[in-house]
Amino acid sequence: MTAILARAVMALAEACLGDDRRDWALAMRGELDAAIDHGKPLTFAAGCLIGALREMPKHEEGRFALTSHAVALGLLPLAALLMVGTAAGFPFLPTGHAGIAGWFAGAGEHQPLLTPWNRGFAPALAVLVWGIVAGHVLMPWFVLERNWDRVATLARVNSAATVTLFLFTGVLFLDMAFLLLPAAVLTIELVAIWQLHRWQAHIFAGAPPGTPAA
Amino acid sequence: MATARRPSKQMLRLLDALSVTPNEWRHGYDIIKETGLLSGTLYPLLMRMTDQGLVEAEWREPAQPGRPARHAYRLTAQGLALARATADERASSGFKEVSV
Repeated sequence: MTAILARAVMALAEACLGDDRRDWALAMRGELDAAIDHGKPLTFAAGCLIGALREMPKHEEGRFALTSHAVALGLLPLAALLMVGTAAGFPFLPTGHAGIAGWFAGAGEHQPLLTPWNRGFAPALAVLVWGIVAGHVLMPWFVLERNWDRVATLARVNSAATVTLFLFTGVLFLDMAFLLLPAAVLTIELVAIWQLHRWQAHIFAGAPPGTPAA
Repeated sequence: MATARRPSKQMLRLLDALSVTPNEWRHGYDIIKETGLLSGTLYPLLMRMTDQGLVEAEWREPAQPGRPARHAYRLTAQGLALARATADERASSGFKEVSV
């Protein structure tokens, strides 16, 4: 059991070292059997993992991996903010239905967002908003997988959904200020993933075709 | 530069261990057992010293079938010179490392 756990920890250490240090990752793995024979595989593997983690900021691939995780973790609170805002009501901010102006003014007057005239659009708006939230929740996962095809597809879907929400809001004569939060989240997300994609393309620019980019 | 910074205690311990039999190739786990260094200290050290040209590494066929090839290490001429220089320096200053 300890040996199995040690092999799992060693696999993590190998992943942390990246392609630059592939030889060293194999060198560590080659010594694991000696550590198992000596009865200390987990200590050895844990040490290798700590060493590999300490090496990560020293090579570009490692810095890229750390930044990807930071970006992914940074996107989650944005998605959570959108989710909380949506749960609190379509205006995305805990304003009741007073809108941005009412929110800034304190209690403000509470105007209903949807009138009897346009209330029939509520299900469509709800589906659209929850679709946007789901898209933003999925994005960090795809970023960490470095599955740029899926990231690009999801970015297009999120953008299209946000633009549709803008159009709906305009058609229904709702307060466009409500859309500040989803627009800001989308902008931050797109800029961050575009920068990550460019960075990865730079790192693997010299790699032969077919080389896995991770 | 390899010698721009003063070698750390761990590096001195590794230099001492490898300079005892400088022509002999040593496996990583054997070095760990001999020096008492942890794998998390030894491997980053070996990587840096190899980058600096102080240590050379090569792959060795496994002693037992079914096991992976193993990396073996020894000091380069530059590494051996550094090991001797630091040993002389410590001897002249009366430095003695306490084993842990």
